[in-house]
Amino acid sequence: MPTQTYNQATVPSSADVVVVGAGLGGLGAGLELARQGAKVLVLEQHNLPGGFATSFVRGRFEFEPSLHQMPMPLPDSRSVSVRNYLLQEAELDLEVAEVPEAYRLILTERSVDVRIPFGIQAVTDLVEARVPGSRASVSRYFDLCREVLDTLTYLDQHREDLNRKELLAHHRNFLNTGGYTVQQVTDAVGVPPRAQEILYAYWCFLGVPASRLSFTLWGAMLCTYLASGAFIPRSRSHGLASAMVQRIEELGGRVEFNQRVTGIGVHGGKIREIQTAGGSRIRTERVICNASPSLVFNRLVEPQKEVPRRARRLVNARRHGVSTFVVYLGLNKSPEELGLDGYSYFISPHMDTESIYESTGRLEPPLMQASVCLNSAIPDCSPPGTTIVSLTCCYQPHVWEQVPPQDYFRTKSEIGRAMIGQFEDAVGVDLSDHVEEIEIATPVTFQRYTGAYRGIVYGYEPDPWDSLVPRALAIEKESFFEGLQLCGGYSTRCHGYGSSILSGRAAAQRSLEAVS
Amino acid sequence: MAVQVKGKYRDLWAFLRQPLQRHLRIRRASSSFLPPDPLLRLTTALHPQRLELRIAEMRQETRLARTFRLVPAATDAGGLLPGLPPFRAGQYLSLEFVLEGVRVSRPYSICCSPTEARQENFYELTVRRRENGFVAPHIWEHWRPGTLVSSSGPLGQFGWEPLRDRQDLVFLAGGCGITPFRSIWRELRAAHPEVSCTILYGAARPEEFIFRQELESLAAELPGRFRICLVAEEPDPGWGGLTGLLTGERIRELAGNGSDKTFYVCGPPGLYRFLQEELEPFELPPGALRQEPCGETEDLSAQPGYPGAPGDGVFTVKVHRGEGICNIPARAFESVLVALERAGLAPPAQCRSGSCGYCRSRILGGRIYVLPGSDGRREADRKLGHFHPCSSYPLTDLEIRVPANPLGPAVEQSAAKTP
Repeated sequence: MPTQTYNQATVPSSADVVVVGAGLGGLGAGLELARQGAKVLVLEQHNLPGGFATSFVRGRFEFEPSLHQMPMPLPDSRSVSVRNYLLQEAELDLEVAEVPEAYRLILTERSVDVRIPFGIQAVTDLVEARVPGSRASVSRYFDLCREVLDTLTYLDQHREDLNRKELLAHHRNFLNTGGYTVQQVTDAVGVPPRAQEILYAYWCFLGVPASRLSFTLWGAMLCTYLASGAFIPRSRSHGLASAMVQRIEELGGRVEFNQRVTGIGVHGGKIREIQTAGGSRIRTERVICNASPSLVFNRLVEPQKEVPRRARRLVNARRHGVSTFVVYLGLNKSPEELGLDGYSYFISPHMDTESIYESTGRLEPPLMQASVCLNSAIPDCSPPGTTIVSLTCCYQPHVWEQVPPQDYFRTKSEIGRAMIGQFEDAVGVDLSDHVEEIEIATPVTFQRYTGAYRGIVYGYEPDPWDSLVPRALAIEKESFFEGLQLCGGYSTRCHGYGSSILSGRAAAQRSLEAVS
Repeated sequence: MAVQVKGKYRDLWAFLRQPLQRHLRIRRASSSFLPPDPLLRLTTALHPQRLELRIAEMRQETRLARTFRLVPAATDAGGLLPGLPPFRAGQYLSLEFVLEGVRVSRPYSICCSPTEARQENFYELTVRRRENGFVAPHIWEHWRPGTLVSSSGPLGQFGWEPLRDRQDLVFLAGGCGITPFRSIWRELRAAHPEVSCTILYGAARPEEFIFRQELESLAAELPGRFRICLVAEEPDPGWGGLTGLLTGERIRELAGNGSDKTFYVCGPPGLYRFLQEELEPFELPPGALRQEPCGETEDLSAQPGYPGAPGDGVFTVKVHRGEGICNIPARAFESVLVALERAGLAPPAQCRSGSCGYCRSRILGGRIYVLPGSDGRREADRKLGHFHPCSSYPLTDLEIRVPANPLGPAVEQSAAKTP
């Protein structure tokens, strides 16, 4: 008869590096460490890898819970591409599909219904056709975005030997715009408001209104997507996460599920061990943590007195990003029969990001939804004659906290119904009569499965002072413990699939550098 | 081309001052500890990992069925009973038992309506007596008012979903498969006057109809909304109702050709196989026939694609778990999950019918048979060799990797009382 300790699945008593959490950041870290030959142990509290990057099955459908798109490699750029990292460097066994176009934007109160293709030139032409006279400013805007991206690449590749003169001489536009918000820079470049409203659609991927959002982050994202296109894994994000786990294990790493980390043991400012809910202690001097720093410095580090006050001030100074609400529909008609021919639909009355953001702070259907017809990128993602559509909106963290448990099901059903109605009205299609499967995820759902603090999906809000560059400059100072590296949507690259994976890779590299 | 926002020097300053700005913001921020996660209260209230319950009442439904009323086992710090998680009509609880040193789980549908459960803070489960079996005889013998029961929160997707289903419903129940329907019809009666139901309920003998009186008064009080048809397989002389099986013909008599209706099936595995054929002529679109999946099948050789007959063969399963490895026996006609439970390994398990994925494990060697109607695996999992032990049967010796049970060791107080 096996012993009780065996029943609870023993973990190794020591590891070179322990990665806390198999979200995309943790998997990215695990993958890079395993690639570099480190004895890595990834511990995940859930029984699946990926965190938000997962999937679920209802009837004949396997739904994509959170991914809309990841960027393709940018041509003529040396910037790190998540696709190349996964498929070429890490040699993941993963099939991907290209997203056919950027987005269809429907602004119901502004009579805007445009389809934005990929390709800077095509977008510029389209905006010029809609907003005559905008070409010069929009071209200048995209050039600027490209320069921002190129400088970020330069900084990334010259972390050790940064040359101030070179930076001042050749990356001046990056510096000139780096301290400002999207709105400040876009206005300064002279992009007319009617062109702005077309170009701002992606703002919902970052979840901060243009009046606060860091231009650096925005410009890099906009350029990456529009210039290079986007892709998704064929067998949903679970396929991506599983392929990462598979590769980590092939390379000699270990990933253990249902192993919740309850403590990061620290002594004298140095990492000593990891404590799990099952009572195990794993000796290690290096930890890469995928959890929110808010949790790391308030809940995980043991003993608490080791945590400097500055660490708590840091997390209290930052503003938590939004969570999401998603209606997943398995429809019993083909996309053609339904009249859906696009992949990504952004639907809103207007593009006033300030008031859209404000609407995400109330318990009602927010003004804007970002919705996806998965079959447009992967025609056979569901059986012939069916379609998978998911409708997503954002909520600020406090909103769902106020819902009494007994009202929860009704509330999510009502908001879900309203979002389906928004989509049907805007796109001019009927979904309600063809629902074969439906599921609705709220911030509660995301918290239930991932343990995310307050159900937050987006990490800290990237205001200029808390965007890429300030985060990167403070990286050493803000890990607070020797041997600890942070990764995931809360870390330097901000949130998003690609950012999280690459943040894990970077954390692994820092961890390895610190030893050598 | 140089871009300027506010002017050459101001722009540079706006960039360069960011670390200082960050420093000042951090210095000005409070050093207080993070308050308890304000969403966690709701998440835990809805989806607790574990519920400790106490049997408050027990009533005999039929000679072979008992209903148990469960309430929270203990009062909270304020001396009040904590509110039980709300649920959707048709959901189940996964109960945990430690019997003969073996830890197992069993799903039982909640049979009271969400509204009444909320108003009086209880759940009700109806359990049918079985002569053989591991858990049912135990419940029958040992569950009494006062017994403590350890459970999951409410789980599952079976039930009426207004955003998906029609308003004209057909319930096809066999034996104790009536239990989730009771929750659903009570809720519909109280809160959804727009919905009407036809309930066809089959049982072996007339005395085995659970909730018979309730069904008959439902039909008498609201004849326009609830039509009831009890079908006894082996009627006794006093039985004035219908006899035989839930045949397609019978279903057609009551439910017409089935168009614009949603069908729900719950019952023993035999019922699913039988109804599958009987319902074929209705040509119900997928999604219009909703089943509470049932993975623990009685007869593997009757399953499509099962190679031959399972026989009495016993295979050896090499189980990797964390750092440990051990070999356990697995009977050909029992699921891999049961083999793991028999060996005392306490694998994680909830739905026991292939759909929830809670027992997801990895197959490293050997072949398994997966019940076709209960294969809820994700596409990538199929490809990469993950499986759900609860709906998988060994065809050869196996080598597998099983995750820890996230509930940790069973605690004394949470185990059902054994004498």
